[in-house]
Amino acid sequence: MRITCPHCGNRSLDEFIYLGDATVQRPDPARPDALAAFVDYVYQRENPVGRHRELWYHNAGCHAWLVVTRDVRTHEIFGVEPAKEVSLSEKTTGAAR
Amino acid sequence: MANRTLELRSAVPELSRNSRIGRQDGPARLVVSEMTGLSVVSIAARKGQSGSLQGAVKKLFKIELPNTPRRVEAGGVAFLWAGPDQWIAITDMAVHPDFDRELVAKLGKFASFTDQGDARTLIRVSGPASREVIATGVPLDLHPRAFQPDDVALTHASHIAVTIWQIDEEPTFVFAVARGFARSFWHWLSDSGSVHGIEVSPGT
Ligand SMILES: [Zn+2]
Repeated sequence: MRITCPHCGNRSLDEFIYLGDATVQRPDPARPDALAAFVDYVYQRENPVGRHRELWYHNAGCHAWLVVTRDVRTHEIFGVEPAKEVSLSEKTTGAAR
Repeated sequence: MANRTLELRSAVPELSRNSRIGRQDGPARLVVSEMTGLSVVSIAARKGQSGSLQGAVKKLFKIELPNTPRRVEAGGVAFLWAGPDQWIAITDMAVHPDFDRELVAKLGKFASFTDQGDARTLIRVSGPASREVIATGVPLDLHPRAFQPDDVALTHASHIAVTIWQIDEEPTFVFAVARGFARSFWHWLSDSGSVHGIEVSPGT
């Protein structure tokens, strides 16, 4: 599997570190059910087949966090975006993708 | 108290003297030297200041800071892309002895500057076997159609984080390696290159 870093170009998998699900959103600590929400946020993960959005870190490269949309069965990659841009656009639109 | 002067000392003593390593017959097909006497400064744009920094650098140095993995040089100062909104500036220490302070004075509003002169070891690699030897540890396509003079890459060499760039078509490559890993890097490079014969010539 190779990942095309938006900053560095097409690179070998051994330059990257996998973190996990990029769809989880940090809950608001002020909300009344914050404790339960944080338990879900920290520990609960889906185990989807097919297309998934994941956080990868370009460790041996530009040190950017990336959101990779990937088919976890075939390893086909549909898109790679800088996580910073994904996060900023979520903040401005107020919506998770 | 006695007045003491700190002495510059290479992280890779093997690179401080002329030597021929590995295969002895015929011309060495790999030439290695440490680049010394350089000021190396890392640059990180402050939040939201990348555009202003690029404008100010253009005025001062008459160059465009690269936003892709490239190296640009003007007036004896080279700027290398080093990640989003980050660069490395390299110049002659004799001309710019306090280069980090010089940059802070001129551009401190827009970016942070950190002297890397004693943190990075710069190793120049050339010769006809250079691509073949580098390919034993660097997961990059270095064929001329994929990597050319002034191309830069942040990657690893034999599991050691490096910045690599090409300076001419001979080809000549330069590696910037964290000082603490420079001797491990040399271990890999000398092991991989010895079959071709390595000429080590002290730094310039
Ligand atoms: Zn990258």
